[in-house]
Formats: sequence, structure tokens, C-alpha cells
Amino acid sequence: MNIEKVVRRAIELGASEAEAMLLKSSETSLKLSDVVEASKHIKIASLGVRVAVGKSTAVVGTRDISEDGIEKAVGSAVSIAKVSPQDPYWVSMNRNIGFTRIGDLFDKDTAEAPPEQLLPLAKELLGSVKEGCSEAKPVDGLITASSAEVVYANAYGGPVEWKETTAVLYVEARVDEAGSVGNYSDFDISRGLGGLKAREIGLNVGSKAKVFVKAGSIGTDRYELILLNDVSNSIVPVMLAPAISAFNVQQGRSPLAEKVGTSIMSEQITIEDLGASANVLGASPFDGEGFPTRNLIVVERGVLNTFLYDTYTANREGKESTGNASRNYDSSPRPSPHHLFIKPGSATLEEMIRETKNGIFVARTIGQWLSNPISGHMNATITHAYMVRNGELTEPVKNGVISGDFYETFKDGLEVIGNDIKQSSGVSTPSLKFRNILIASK
Amino acid sequence: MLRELASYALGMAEGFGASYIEARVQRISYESLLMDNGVLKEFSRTSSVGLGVRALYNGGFGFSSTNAMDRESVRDTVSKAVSAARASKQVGRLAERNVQRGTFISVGKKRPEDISEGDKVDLLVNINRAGLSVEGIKSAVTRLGIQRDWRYIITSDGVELEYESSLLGIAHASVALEAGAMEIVGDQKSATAGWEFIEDKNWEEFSMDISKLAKEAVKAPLPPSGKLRIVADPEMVGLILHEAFGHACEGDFVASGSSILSGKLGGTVASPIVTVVDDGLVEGGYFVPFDDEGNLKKRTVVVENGVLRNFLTGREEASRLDLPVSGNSRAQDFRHFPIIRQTNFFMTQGDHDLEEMIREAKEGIYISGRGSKGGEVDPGSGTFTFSAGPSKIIRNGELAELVRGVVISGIILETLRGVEAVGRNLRISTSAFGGCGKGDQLARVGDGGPHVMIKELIVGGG
Repeated sequence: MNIEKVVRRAIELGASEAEAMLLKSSETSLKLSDVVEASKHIKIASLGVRVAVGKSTAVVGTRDISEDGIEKAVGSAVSIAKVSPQDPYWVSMNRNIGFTRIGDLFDKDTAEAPPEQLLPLAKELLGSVKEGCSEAKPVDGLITASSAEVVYANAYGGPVEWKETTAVLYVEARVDEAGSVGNYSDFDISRGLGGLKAREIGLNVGSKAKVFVKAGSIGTDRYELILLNDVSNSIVPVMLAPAISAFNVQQGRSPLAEKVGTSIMSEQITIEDLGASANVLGASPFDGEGFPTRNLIVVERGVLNTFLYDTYTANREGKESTGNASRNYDSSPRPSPHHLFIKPGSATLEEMIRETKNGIFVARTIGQWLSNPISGHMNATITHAYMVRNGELTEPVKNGVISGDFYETFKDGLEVIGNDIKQSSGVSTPSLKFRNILIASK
Repeated sequence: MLRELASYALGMAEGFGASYIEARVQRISYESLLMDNGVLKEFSRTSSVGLGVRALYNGGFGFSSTNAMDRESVRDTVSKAVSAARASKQVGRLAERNVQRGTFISVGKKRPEDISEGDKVDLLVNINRAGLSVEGIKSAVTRLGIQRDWRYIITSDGVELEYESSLLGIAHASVALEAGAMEIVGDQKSATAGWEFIEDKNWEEFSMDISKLAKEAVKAPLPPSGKLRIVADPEMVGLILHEAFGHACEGDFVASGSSILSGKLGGTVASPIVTVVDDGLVEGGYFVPFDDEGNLKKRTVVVENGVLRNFLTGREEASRLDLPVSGNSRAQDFRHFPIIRQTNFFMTQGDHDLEEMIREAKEGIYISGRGSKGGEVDPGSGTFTFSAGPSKIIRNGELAELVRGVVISGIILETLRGVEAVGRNLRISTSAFGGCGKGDQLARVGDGGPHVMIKELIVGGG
């Protein structure tokens, strides 16, 4: 498909500006329990067309990629824009089309892997769960190898294109002992299948599932709190990503409005958004509107440095985009982080535990996404944790709610930053230790 | 043409050595308008056409899909489904089918596609303006979502089913600012219906009520932390049931042993006043006449007077669990293979008035679904959690002050056993803006119930 032709067609139909984004994705995956439950192999092309007629815009996405389907999409976008009210803040689409050289994000073997090629990895993963604990039964899991190719052009330039691969592995195991059940899950993510650590994940999941058979309850109180890197990975983006988006700031929905240049977190914390680092997932040579990406320091020693901008929000403030336009093929771009990275400290997890007198070491939570990034109120429900007493991990516990103001917690409550970075999709953080955190429980 | 391509896929079963093939073609569209602080920020339309093929080869299931709708791509898709099947386990016997042919349509009276773009924009302008008109409201977002879904399924064992539905709704969120503090309250109303659903409601009142609640909530304290007696409104009951119990009833979790309800069929899992059903065709809910492997979705009584009677199944799970097929094997769209999902999962009515419940609760919290963001469960550990909207403390048997930031947590099996009273009213709702996530799939669902009183749950507060 020639997307420049799509852009030209929109202009012909009366658009003053137009852009087109083609996304070609493929995915091979195995769904696991203690066997391979099912497998799939899919290939989909999606086209997004955004047009402006003066200051009125519209977006149409289509997965009907026949000639008729594309013509209909372009026609529909222009006709909607013609009747839409003007957006007074609209200036123009991105005029700086380009890319940043960030290295290879694509692994051919991963992109072309048929389902059978994933089987040895599945065998290793399921086998190592049993090796971790012979009573552990894998009950859920997934191995996925996927690729995405993006082509972008607008009325001012392009096409530019990039492609990437992602490989993911996940397993959950369960141990049943005389009616009491313990479970645990873990995942790994990488650019290619070769980077997945199946054995390490399987061993960890098998052995931990056994430990949590005996999980007891926590008393409602204030505790020293250690969040394992997996947990901080799941909480930090929920609270921070919407708050540092210039769009939410401009629309009156960020608690960080007017806080640039002020201290919002402990001075131990430095957070970067890695838009142009090939070794993290979320990075890409250009953003969702063809603007070159970069690495950006968002919080430096606790001080908020900048918000994240796309062309629309940057134009509104007379600034330049930070290359953070993020979008689905069928939606307008909005500023969003590529990959939030909290700079690691020097403490090992063992040292953090050793320095804890009366605390909880939290390994897994659910529901952190129910937190409120507008009020700044954070919560997460503990499913897997250990009590820490006098520097030692003691009994496993579950079912308590971590609750508090995110910024107060990360400013006055933060004690220690770990050295153990874990990468997830769009975020990498180390384990973190806090003082005096409220846990609601029985 | 789409029907022909599905038949073409089916015709290739033998050539590829597949013992069974199911071909699903789908045409789905979604229109979204977003009015943000008085400015139209988004008017988008998405449409998809595609084919999903599931093949049984040498006893294993494989799945493949494409949106390139030509014969060569369809052939390649069947070949890939068969190739994927080589990597899968043996599925064993599949349970008997409960349907062969049928056409099911629920599109309401007025087609939303016939309403002009200008009228849709005007509607949102007015709702958004009304939301912003309440003093103290700093930001207001209004959305209109319209989905049309057409699916056609044929299988090599003779099933031919067709379905079309129209789902639409309006969502609004207001942010209040007071003394440097901000609070957001959002709500949505959706229905499987035509445009008449939009015309029949006063949406400006809807957004103003949300704004008034946000204005009140921003000044409200957090609830006390710890165990509290709960009275839940129908939206909250729906959420609790869906998260705390519905997922554990899904036959794939039960058959693999990952559900806490595995092996408990026939046992008491809830208070004797609790009856829970999953029904694909119910007033207020989402429209699921059949599932995506071609089974009729029947009304399934999951819990009857506290006793666990059924799980939710497709053909494979029904066979493994020795239960009838309940028609719950659903796929998000043509890009996904079917997995076990709830449809409209709800508690049936009891005999209490809300006032009686508040009085009997004496001390506790009355949790409200308006403003809730949803919930999540870890079926393995049995822990679930959800957020409630601005809610009221119950003191001395009466409703007292408003609280915000309410997050609830509990243990699956303890929760339904702790139900102390069930209300007379029944309210079921669905959403055009979200659904239930499982694996990498999102499914539209409905849920609800009457008001319910629960002995205790953990409340996270300040």
C-alpha cells in the first residue's frame, strides 16, 4: 500500500492537511496450562487516516484494506472533518518528519517464528516450574513472538518507517496442599525469543507457588514497605504517565500543573523517558506522528524537569514537541511516555530487607490501575508478600490494600532505591523501600 | 462475499487434513466522539473486516486470522491454523452441540448511522457544557461510543449462525478543584439499542449530576481503613460478582485447576439467599445469543440458593467437566480464538428494601458504582479488589458523610458466604466503552444485581 497516495487522496478530497499511518502486525503465540492449550498465528494490516480541514480534524481507522475500504476511510475522514467544529488550539500537523538512529529493534527469527518454533521454549518453561517444585502445576501461561511495522507520512513529509519485534513469556503455577492453595506468576520480555529466560522464570514461579500455600493475613497498620521492582513497575506508570502528559496538564487534569522546576519527589529519584534507547521496549526512531524521538530527563533529583509534548500540545504553548506522540492507528496522537526509567540506586534487595525492622516486602499486587492519577491517591492490593522482622523475611502474607498519596509517599516516604532494575513493557524500575506506609487489612 | 470466503475456508478442511474447521467472518465498526472542555478533540471511526479460522488437526486446535479478504489469503490462513494445531495439545472429546442454525438481530429502532455528524456533535456540546456549568468544575470530558457488530459463523459439522447488534452509550467525567485538591468522578450509560436510547434520556442532567457529585467528593475525606460491613448498590454488586466470583466459574480456569472453585460443584459456596445466573439475553445487558464456537448461549444458573450448580463452558470444557455446553466460549473479534468468558453475570432478587439494609447494617459503608473504575481478581490466591465511587458511611443505621477514594478488597469464597441480605430491585448494565479483559482479549459483558449487604470486606482508605 502506498500511503503517500492516501495522503494525496485526502488533500484532493478537500483536506488542508492529512496524515496516514500503516501498521502491519503479526503474532505467533502459544497459550499454556501444564500443556500447550492452543496456538495461533495471525497477520493483520491496519490503516489510520487523520485529516484537518482548517482547524477541524477527524480520524478514521480501517482494517478493511481493500481499495474500496481505503477510499471509504479517506472519504469518511474528510467528510467528518468538514462538519466538525473548529478546535481553536489547532495549529498544524507535525512539520518535522524524521527519525533518530537508535539501533536495531527487529529480530528476523522472532518475526518469522511458526508456532512449532516456540515449543522448545514452552517445554523448558513448564519443565523448570516442576524443577522449582515438583508439586507445582502450571495453570496459565503464554509465549508470544510478535512483530510490528509502522509506515508514516503526512502532507509535510515522509514516508518514514520502522519495525520491531517483541517476545514475551509468562507462567502462573499453583500448589495445592490439603485444600490450601498457593500460586505465583512471573514474566519476561525481550526484543527476541533468544533473550527470554524461560528457566529462570519457571524455577522462580515453581518455588514461590509452594511458599504462598501458607500465606496468612496482615494486620491494619503502618509499616516499612519494600516494593519489589515488578510492583514498582506496575504502580509508577499508572500515577506518573497521565500526570506528565502536557495534554492532561492543559486540560486541567494533572496534579503536576505548574510544578515544573519544583521538587515533587525525593531527591534520590531521577526518572528518564527513554524514547531513543534500542535496548528498552517502547523506544522507536520516531513517534506516533513521525517526529524524531529522544531520551528525556523528566524528574531530576526529585525536581520535575518537563512535561511530555506532541505537536498539538507543543503548538499550544509555542514549544517544540518532545517526540512523545503516542497513538493507536485509529486515534489522534496524545503525549505519553515511551519507556519510564527510574535510575537505580546502590542497595541490593538483600540489604534493603536487612535494614527493615518491622515491614512488608511486597512481591505481587493487583488493582494498582484503580489508583487515581488526578487526585494523586494511590492504591494497590497485595496478593503476595512477606512480613519482614528484624532484617529477615518471615511468613508469607496476602490480602491488604496499600493506600496513600503517591507524591507524599515518593517524597517523604522514600528511604532507599535498589540496584535491581527490571524491564517491563514501557517501564523499568528498581525495588524501592518506603517508611510509614498504611496497609489496610483484616 | 464474506459468507463465500467463510465457505471457501470450510471447503479446504479436507485438503489440509483437518477433521474440523470453524470459520468466523466479522464486520465491526466503532465510532467515537470526544468533547473535552468544550472542544471536540476526537471524532473517529474504525471499521474492520476479517476472518478467523480454528482448525482441529490430529486432535489439536490451531487458530489463524487475516483481514486480507481474498482467496489466496484465506487459503494461507487455513494452512496456518492447521500448522498452529500441530503445536497444540490433544483436546479429547468435544461436547454435543446445542444449536445448528439461527439468525439473531438486536439493532434497535433508529440506526445511529442515520443520525448526522452535526447532530451527534451538538448532543455532546450540550452535555459537556452542562457538566462544565456546575461551579467548581475545572474539566469535563464527554464521550459518545457507537458499535455495530456483524458476525457469521459456519462450521464443518453443520452450524450456520448469524448475528448483528448495535451498542451505544454516553460517558462523562468531571474534575472538581477545591483548595488545591482535585477529584474526578465519571459514569456511563450504555445499551444494546438504536439511537432511541440516546433520545429517551436527559443527558444534560446526567452530566450535571456527575459534576455535583465531583464537587461534593473533592471535599470529602478518605474512608477509615480496615474491615467494614458493606451495603453495595447494583453496579457494585455486578462488579463484585464479576470479579470475585464470575472469573472463578469460568470453565477453562476450573478445568486447568487454577480456579478456587475447582472440585466444588454441588457444594455450598454462598449464603443460602444467593442465586447467581449468566444469561446472554437479558434486559439492560449485552447481547450474546450464541458464542464464537457456535453454541447457543443459554441462561445458566451458576449458584442456586448458595449451592454451586454449574460452570461456564464451551464444548471442550463441558466435556472435561462433564457438564452441558453453556455457550460461553467467546472471542473479542476475528483476530482471537474463543476462550471462556462471562456474558451477563448477575445476582437475582431477594426480599429486602435498601432502607432496611442500611438500618440493619448499623455501622459500615454504602458503596456506590457511580465513579468506580472497575476491579481485578487473582483467581489463584483468591484475592480480588475493586474501586467504588464516592460512597457514604453508615452510622447508627443511617447514611452519614460522603467519602472518596474507596478501594475494597476481599477473598472470593468468604465474600458470597458473607451475604446477609439481598434487595428487591434488579438492575443490569453494560458498557460501550470497555469490558472485561482476560489474556489479551477484551469482551463486552453485562453485570448487576439488586442491592446487597455483605458482612465484611477490607476497605483501603487514609
